[in-house]
Amino acid sequence: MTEGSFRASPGGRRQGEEGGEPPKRAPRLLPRLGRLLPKRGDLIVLFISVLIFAASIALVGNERPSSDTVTLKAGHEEYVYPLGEDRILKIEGPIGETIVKIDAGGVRFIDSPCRDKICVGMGAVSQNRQVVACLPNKVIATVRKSHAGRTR
Amino acid sequence: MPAERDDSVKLLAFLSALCLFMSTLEYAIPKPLPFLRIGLANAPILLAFGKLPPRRIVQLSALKALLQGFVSGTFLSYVFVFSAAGTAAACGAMLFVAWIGGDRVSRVGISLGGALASNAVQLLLSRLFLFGAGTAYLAPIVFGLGIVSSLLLGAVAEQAATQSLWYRSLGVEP
Repeated sequence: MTEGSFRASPGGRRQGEEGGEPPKRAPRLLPRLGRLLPKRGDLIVLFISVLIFAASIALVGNERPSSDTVTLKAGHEEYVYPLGEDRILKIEGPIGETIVKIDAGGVRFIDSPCRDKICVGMGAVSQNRQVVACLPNKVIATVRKSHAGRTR
Repeated sequence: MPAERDDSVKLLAFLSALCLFMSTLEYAIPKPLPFLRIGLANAPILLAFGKLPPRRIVQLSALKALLQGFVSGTFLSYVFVFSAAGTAAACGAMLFVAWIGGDRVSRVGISLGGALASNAVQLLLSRLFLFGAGTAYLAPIVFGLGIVSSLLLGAVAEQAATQSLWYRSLGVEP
């Protein structure tokens, strides 16, 4: 914006009366911030997205086991183990053997044949609905607690 | 080749290269789960809205999926099938949101719509072919992170499209 156009604005006259230097950024910043405001269509899509997100949480939260467990999915097979009993499990997947350890009230993958070892790097999970997954080997472990707020 | 078509092909090539660059950046960012991506490679597609016709946006999405597969080394694996299906769903949803929303929707809404469709399709495939009913446990994480990342990406793309002189200088209109 040029100096001439700034003087023509009401804000410019007010600054002139006070005798100070006119702030140079204010007239430019306001329109920029205005463009960040969402449009009506954006809010509708956001509302639908949040609704589906909330529905997915409600769907998972419906079931609750009678005791703390770990659900292990290997392909289409599903196994349930008590979270309180320490054990090491060898799960066979399409690319090899994933080794899962249940101890100290948590579950973690200690080895897997996948390339990136992201599942091993995730460490132990012990809270309700927390998940460790090895997608390449199709193994997924989910903690299920009998009481929602219980943590270790 | 007519001048207009020539321009849109050049812009398509440029945005495809940008997708390749963003895919490389994204590959370097650590992910808690392989499919939990920020979606940086979708930024050029969002920028294509307002500059390229729908046909070219479909072509750009296809090229993005292909290039992302090359960069991440998953081309022709089941991960690529998931990614390509997600990209196809996202492309359709983004075009639909842009078409039905018109001037009442910005790149933020387009980005949100794309992420929602992509995540929904990938979860559906995961339920059918990988984890069965256990997929439900992943859904809140995938949808929640999808909303946050697509909001941010859409806001950045919208800001770039409305403020950037470079973007204006691209000069192609659908």
